[in-house]
Amino acid sequence: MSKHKISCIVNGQKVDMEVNASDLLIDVLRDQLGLISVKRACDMQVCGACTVLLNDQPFSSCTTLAIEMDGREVLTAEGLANGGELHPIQQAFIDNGALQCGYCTSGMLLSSLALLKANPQPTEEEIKHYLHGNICRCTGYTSIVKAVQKLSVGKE
Amino acid sequence: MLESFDLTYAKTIDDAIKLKKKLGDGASFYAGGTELLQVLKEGMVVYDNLISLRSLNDLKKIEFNQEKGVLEIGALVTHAMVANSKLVRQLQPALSILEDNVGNIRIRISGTVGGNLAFAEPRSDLGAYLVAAEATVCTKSLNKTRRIPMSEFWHGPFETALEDDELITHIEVPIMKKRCGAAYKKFSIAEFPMAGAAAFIELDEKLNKIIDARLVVAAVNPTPTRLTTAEKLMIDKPISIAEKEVSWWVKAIEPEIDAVSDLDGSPEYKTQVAAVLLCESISVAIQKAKEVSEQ
Repeated sequence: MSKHKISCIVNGQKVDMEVNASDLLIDVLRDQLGLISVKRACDMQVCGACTVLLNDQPFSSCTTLAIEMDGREVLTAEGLANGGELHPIQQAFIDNGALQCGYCTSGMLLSSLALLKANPQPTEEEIKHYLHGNICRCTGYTSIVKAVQKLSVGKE
Repeated sequence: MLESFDLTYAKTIDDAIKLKKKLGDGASFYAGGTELLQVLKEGMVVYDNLISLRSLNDLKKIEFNQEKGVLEIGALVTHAMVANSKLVRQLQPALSILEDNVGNIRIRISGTVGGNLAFAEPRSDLGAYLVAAEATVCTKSLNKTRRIPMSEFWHGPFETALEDDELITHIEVPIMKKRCGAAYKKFSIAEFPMAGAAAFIELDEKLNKIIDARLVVAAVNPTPTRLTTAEKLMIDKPISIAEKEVSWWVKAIEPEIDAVSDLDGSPEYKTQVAAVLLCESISVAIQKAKEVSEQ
């Protein structure tokens, strides 16, 4: 079994560690780094609950190898707030009631953030298209789309 | 959890091929991982070694080969890269739209064109369209290179023409010419389509008559299926007749769709959906052929 030394930035902190080639990203994040906002649900890249960002792009951590962290910046929901101050996307979700049970929320926040980085002024259709792969069984999505729209540059 | 395996980074294309030759059946190429890691997790296949192609930047290019009139899309190009490519949008607009709707954003960011084709998932959107577009799969192995028509590349579900040490380097997709239009329509609830239909239509100089048609249904059957009877019914017919008659023609060739029963539904239901999608994609392809030529 090959071990790989990897070096990355996880939620703003430099991390050097050794992982097995066959380690999944979700397991390393949850079990070794204690980042339990990363949720395993469908385990087949459909639901989006395990979404994390690698260099600002969303990945299903349930079906990504941990070695892919190497040389990249990793962001999980733990890295969003700045101390006691919530990230604007978190605040927008709260203000718009865009969560209930919270299981999809980490993935929803991170996917929304990735969208806004790639496209700071998404239309409603573009938001729905981008978030199509993040499933929420509580909110009915309207409030989530509204929360993202609120952060769209130049829009209230 | 995954069964443990070793992973080696290939430094060059030749290096990857040599490694595969050496490691044989116990090894697999690793590109985007969206398909491979899924089946490894489910224990459907076991490999002792993965050969990572991820540092092979030569396989990550999209280029227009003017001489051949084709887009050359590298095997490591992701669905998102195809969807965002200006070249593809200009020269193969239907492919661009298709790629922007594959799976979900995470699959589009990770999944590669080569990986998708090498895996031969019967419900691949890309595979169906590339059969209709008459694309070619270009490969390299230790002693030779091959150019395999997409229509001959898939032998069955998860079975391809690839030999053991053979690597897809790129695909060639003919660009859309004047008076030609194409479209792909699918119906999906989750990530994979339950049915898909691709149509390619070429019109005559006066934009009155269909002179070529290629129709492919996918996901309803084990490999993308060309509907040659329906194609023959359409060729040499005026558009006005085709637009009126298309649903009848599609009805007539339903047995040719040859849908199989699976978790997505019964053959009858899937045939019905595929037929509707086929009518839609034919109608869009005709419209596109007219639009492009009128510009």
